[in-house]
Amino acid sequence: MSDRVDLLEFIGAFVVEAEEIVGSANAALLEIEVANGEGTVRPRAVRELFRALHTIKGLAGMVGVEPIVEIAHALEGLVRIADRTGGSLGRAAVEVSLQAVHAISERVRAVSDHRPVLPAPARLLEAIAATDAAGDAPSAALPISGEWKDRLTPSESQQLAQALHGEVPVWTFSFTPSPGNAARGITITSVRAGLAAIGEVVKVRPRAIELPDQAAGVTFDILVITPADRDAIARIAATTPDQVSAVRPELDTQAGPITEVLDTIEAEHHVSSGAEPWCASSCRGSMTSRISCRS
Amino acid sequence: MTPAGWYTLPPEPGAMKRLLIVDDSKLMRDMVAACLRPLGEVAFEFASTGLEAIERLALAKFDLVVLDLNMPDVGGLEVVEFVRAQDRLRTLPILIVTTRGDDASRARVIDAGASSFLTKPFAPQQILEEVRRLLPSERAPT
Repeated sequence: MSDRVDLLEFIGAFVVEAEEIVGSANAALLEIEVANGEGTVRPRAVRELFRALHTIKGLAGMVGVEPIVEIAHALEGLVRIADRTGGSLGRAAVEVSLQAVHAISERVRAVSDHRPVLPAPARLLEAIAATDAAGDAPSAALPISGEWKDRLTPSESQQLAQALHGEVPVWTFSFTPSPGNAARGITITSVRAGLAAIGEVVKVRPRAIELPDQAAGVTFDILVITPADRDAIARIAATTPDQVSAVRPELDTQAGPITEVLDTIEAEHHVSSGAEPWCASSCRGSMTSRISCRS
Repeated sequence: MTPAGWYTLPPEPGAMKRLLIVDDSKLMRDMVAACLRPLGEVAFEFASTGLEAIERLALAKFDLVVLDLNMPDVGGLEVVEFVRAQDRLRTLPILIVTTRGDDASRARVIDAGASSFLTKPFAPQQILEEVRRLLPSERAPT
């Protein structure tokens, strides 16, 4: 068999995927622009913009469209700063981002039309380099402590803080993949997609567990913002409602070191009865259970 | 193969080697598979996120993973850390594919136990040779 593969055979597919990515980037920028007008931030949209730029940079490089690589690389650097500092992208940064995404779009169209692709505009690259990523919106303090707080990026923390301050319900639970779940079409991909349809997934973290019949045991700890109730979440994740816990902001500083305030059935029992010994023997294993406990 | 039935692929002795290609871009997954077509008798499977990669690796046996570094939710670094923490996956070859600008992450992922890495853009022959070098001569034990 010949070892010769010509990646230019993918140029048509590149145009299709690049146009989708440009659409996603523009949608994210519109969302960020609206949020800036309201004096808030959209950390999830900033993350999606970063992802879009990173992906198109890699694809353009593979099919040899260097001007798109240059523009995407420059803008990715700016958006990365915003993502890593809480997900706030200021008005000037949004403006230069819109120009850059437009420049990328023009070059994708040139590839599609088999026209020469113009070089990356030097003035645009200079403008991106000279732009401050940060926005004016104040950062919201994350009103929880404990494991989830320690595991979130600044952008994810802002996303969660906004929800908690805005009294939008936040839920946490664990999903454990298995051959049985997979046979029924319930995988981490389907669970994540189901949750994204009813809210915003803040974080999904893998955690190794002991499962003797699998190549490796894993469960996924999930943090989601959604107005849906725990029954709806449980259906998506093929679990029971009592395994889905609400995350609430710490309001009562006199209540002692509750790591995160949850209202699982177990936690309600635990707090009302003060049954620390029961908790110590039962609340082991899942992250949900662990953060339900008083430390 | 149905989307839900990927884990049921028979791992009988003598079966083709299985490669898992992980990238959030479908086009990139297709390009990597095209580059590796000259390998011949190899079954390609795909994961579009680091989460899906971890799930597949937990439920099925693979002989090699080609792994993008920068993905949403769970990136290549976390996939490598998960794999290397599992006794049964400790020797699984992992080829990391990075993009310009990922230099710091690349160093971390190699420290975490990745077998090798390539930077996009790469030539088809580059990734083919690297996979040939890393791919074990025998199938992964079932």
